[in-house]
Amino acid sequence: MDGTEVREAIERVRAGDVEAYGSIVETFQLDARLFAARLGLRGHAVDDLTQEAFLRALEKLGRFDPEGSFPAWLKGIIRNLYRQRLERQAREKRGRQSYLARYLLNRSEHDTGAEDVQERAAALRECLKKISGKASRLVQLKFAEGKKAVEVSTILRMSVGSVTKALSRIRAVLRECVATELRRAAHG
Amino acid sequence: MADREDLLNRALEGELTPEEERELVSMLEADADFRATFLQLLEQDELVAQELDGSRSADAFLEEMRIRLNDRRGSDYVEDVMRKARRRSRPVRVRWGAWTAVAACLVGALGVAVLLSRRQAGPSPSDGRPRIAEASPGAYILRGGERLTCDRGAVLRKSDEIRTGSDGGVTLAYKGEPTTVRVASDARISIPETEGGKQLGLFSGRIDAQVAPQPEMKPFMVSTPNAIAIVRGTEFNLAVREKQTRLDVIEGLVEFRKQVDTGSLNYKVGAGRYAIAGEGVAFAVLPFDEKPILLQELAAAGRPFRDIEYRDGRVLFEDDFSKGIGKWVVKTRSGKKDRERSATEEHRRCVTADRVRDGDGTIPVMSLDARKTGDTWLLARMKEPIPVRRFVVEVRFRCLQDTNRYWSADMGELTAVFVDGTTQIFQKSRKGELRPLMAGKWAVWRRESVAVAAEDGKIDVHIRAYVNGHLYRWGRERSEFDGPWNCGLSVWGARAHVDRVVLKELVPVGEEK
Repeated sequence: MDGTEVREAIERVRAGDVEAYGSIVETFQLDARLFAARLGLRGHAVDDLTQEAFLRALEKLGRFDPEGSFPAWLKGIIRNLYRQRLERQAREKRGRQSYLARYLLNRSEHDTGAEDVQERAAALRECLKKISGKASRLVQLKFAEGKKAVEVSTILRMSVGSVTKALSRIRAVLRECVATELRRAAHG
Repeated sequence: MADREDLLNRALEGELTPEEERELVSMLEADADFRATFLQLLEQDELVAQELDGSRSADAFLEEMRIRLNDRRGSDYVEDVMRKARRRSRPVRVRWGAWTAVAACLVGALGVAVLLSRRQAGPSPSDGRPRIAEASPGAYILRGGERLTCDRGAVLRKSDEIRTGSDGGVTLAYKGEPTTVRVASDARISIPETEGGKQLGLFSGRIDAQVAPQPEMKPFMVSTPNAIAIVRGTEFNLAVREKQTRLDVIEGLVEFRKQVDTGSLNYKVGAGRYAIAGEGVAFAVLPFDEKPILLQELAAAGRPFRDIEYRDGRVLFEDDFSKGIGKWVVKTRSGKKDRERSATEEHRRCVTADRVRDGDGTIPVMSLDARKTGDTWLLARMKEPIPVRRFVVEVRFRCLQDTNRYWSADMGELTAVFVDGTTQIFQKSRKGELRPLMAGKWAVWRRESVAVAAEDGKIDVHIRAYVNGHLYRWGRERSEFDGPWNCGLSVWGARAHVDRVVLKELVPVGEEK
């Protein structure tokens, strides 16, 4: 969806076609979820916050300036929702805050993430195909089944340290592979 | 000072202590490259999870989004949006239209005719409306009581009804896409009043449809008296006969939803398979060459839920606590393996018979107050074991605590949080994260359970669990425990009132009463 199509879809929603919002969600869900991940959220917490932000955006669409950037506006909503959650958690835990969460939240105002998310997702898909054997099993356990390193270590009969190191290597390999794939795509 | 890479890896695992978080933050602040790497890895982990975890795919996200939106349509959300729209309309006239439009479309989706008709007063798009592509002479359109001929190219309107005669049918088409719906002879279909994607109502007869890919959030939907077929691009046949709807999927995948008293049951029916929703047959997905499962033939007890439907049978146990809590014994759960243990005197004092205000009067309840029991669960367990292997337990309760504490009912899969005078129910995922289900002053939790012997000698327990009629959990759990089963209500760190517990036998539908 280019800028014009987004504006048209927003106008349709405003005119009463709430289902047109589906195409907006479809277009921006990846970007929004990656932004939430950059705030330090993981797993279903990412989806939960992002979905809440999309609903909030729908509710407040009357305030959105059609000439503005919808993804930037949406990220602002994500940021505000997350800030409210952190404040609520801090109250409930009697003032105890996550420094890292606070830092990433503040940082996000200057750093909203890359724009080539679709290309990066496609590149990562290709890179994941190259992982095989025990590494593939480890990735499955960690990312598909959401297991902690200690649980993975029990299943794969490895020490926790070995699991952590293997994960670190896999992350580095994937990162390098994605960069290579993106360079290759850029050069045709 | 901790190793930088170690800190980074453990941060990605979410395992840092507050001191380590501070240390990492100072490293991130000092080194822009390190910060960029960390943020990239956060993103990368998320992308990998989305790619590999089916429940986190883009499709799953959109589906959940659709469900959340639909859930809110039926709640205070719509009223809230409307209220804001009205409030905003006074000082800021220019925005009134936009706010009302959003609100109106939400309410319109609920089928509120007044708002819908207001919306239709303006220009309405013609996209999504079916047109007559072909028609046999016997077919006609009923519009506002008037009988119109099915002229080729005629655009159908909301509330139109088409009836085909015994000598032929009608083919419907949609502008700008190759979707076609062939309505067979002796059929009756309608164009619903609702908003959204392409929709048809099928009262009787049969349709053969070829549906082009539809937007994820705007599926093609066909409603019948017994079921709803939700299609995102495929070929299928749907037939309504007497009190049954049969769906045959030729190509692709169709979501088939059967309405039941407690909500709806869903299947995704793939190519070469069919399902029947209606009276007398089990709601099951079967290959074309297999006969439907007739409920009368399912006298064999304990067939899994996927093959058989159950109705509530005789009441085995009931307690409204009007005579105290003598039917319950207090236990606790603690330790690494979370085993059930004998309660201390202090635990026992925390479970009491009480009377609480409800509306204008008071009602008897069992009160469980686990705020002073430390890190142990307070558990009220029924004294008598459950004498059957197929049963349903219903618990009416409310949670009384202003902080996030856990209410667990039997399986520990729910969390209730008391906020602003309501008990809000969350579902706990396998990863321990919370997903909102619903809120209300009192909540009714219902869990159906059928235990059957598996081939390997273990026990398969098929379950379906609901909160306030909303089906939120179903599936099978494998166990070595073969009863006798029991019912326990547990609380950790919170206070809850249980108003009523009813335990009933589950009986296969069609089995002799």
